[in-house]
Amino acid sequence: MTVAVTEIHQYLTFWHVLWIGLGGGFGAALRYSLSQVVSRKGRHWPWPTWLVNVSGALVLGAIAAYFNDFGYEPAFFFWELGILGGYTTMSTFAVETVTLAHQRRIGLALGYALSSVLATLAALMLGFTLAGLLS
Amino acid sequence: MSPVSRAILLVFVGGTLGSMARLTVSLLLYQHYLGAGNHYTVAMAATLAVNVIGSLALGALAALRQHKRIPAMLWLLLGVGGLGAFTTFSAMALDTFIAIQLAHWSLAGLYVVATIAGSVSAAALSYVWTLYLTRSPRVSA
Repeated sequence: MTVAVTEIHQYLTFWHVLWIGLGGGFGAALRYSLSQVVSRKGRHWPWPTWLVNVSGALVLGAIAAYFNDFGYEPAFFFWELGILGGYTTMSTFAVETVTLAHQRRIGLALGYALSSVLATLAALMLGFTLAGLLS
Repeated sequence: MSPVSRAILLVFVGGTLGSMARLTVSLLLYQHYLGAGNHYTVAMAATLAVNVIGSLALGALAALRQHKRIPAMLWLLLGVGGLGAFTTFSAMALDTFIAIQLAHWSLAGLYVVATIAGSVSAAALSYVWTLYLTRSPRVSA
């Protein structure tokens, strides 16, 4: 079943909602596990969140290209809202930026915010383009 | 259960609840405001709303954690899992990309600036305010 992206929400059942939620739990657990593994090189720069947001946008770009080509269905929400919604995070990014600024590392805070936005957008477009070439 | 698997489980449960909460916000906004041709502006509004609200909440929680006013397990459940999953960076990038594809440049720019400035200042406000409220009382000599 494929529907317009504007109509997906009308077709959600209880099971879809449950799967989207579990997808979010899985994405969050993956983000936390990676954050424990990624080395904290460059002590102040929050690499784990930066890498999670950029890699998540890369994957979401590819997934958006797929659904764009083959039609939308509730599974799009499982990926967009569930897995990648749980994996990537704005609130942790915001708190890290505030913490850097609070430590008077203003340049680092600005660089972190600006590079997160630009790298995330570029990664999403790259994922979208690469997946479009493959399909 | 080992501390590591307990931490991952807490983040998983929090993430599940956070995602469902975000879905609820999206569905409510879609039901009330979705009409023909305005889908992506409603999606933008939903993403902006969860990001600013979630950052506001996490700022306070981070300050409480810093002053050790909350147990580490609660931080993993509500902060890393719940609010981490409630908010999203990837959907913000996708919303922006859609606006760029439609050549709605000023909307794309406005949306990015509103999201980042809104989320960071919301987190700053609640973080600093909570640090102030929970500061240790001065010990008089």
